[in-house]
Amino acid sequence: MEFLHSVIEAFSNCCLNCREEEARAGEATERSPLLQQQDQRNQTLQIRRISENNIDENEISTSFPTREKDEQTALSRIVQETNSNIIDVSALDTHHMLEQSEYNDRVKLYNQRLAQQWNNIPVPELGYNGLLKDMPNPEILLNFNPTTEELAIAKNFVKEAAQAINDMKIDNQDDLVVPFHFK
Amino acid sequence: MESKLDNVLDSMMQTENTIGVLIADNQGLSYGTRGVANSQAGGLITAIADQAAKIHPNLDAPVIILETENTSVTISKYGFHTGAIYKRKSQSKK
Repeated sequence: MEFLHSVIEAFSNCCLNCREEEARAGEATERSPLLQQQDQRNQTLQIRRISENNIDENEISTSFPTREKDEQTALSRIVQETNSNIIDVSALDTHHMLEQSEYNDRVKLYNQRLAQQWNNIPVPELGYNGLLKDMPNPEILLNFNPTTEELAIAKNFVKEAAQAINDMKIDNQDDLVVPFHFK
Repeated sequence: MESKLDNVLDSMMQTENTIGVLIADNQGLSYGTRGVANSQAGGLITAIADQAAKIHPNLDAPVIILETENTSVTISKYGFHTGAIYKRKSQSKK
């Protein structure tokens, strides 16, 4: 009887273990190997990186067997990108280093050239550009406003003249009918 | 016939500092001139008066005064006629 009990217990334990393993297949258990888990994390990280580099995730999952190749291409791409992004300041300095004397010489040369070019450019004359440029002293003229008397005289003159013109009549001095004498 | 116009022009010439007068119609034809006024200036004077009158079409035609150092020309418009009075600058104004 005791033997039977132990057998049933062993069976049930085995089955429970199986169920637990099935349930925890996707998760990390205390029995799952640590190194393998690290591998899986690396894989997911790698996939994320590559997906950031505008590569389709499906393509990676399908080409999973050739993972090493992908890693190499990704690595080379990263190296290229960093290489293009880096500006090597020290290398630039060594190429374009100027001596102090040379720098001064160049300053002089450029100043000379600028002066020459300025002389060649025809600069428009900045004379007085106004309405009253013909007037020698516009201030004096503008100081005196026309008086109302002057304006009245002018208006009255034109009014009288216009009336005189309208009153113009042709004076009849000779006869309208002139007799012609033909001989 | 034009004695009345002559009288108006002559009386205008009698006023102080006046050195010339001109009267022209709306076409710029000079009807009469006195003194320094040139009858050929009638067209110009009429054109100036017409342009100035366009600034405020609803108001009466303005009086325009062209000033130089020694003389001034006062242009006025009445109806279809434009008159100009040439004046010497009085010494007190200088």
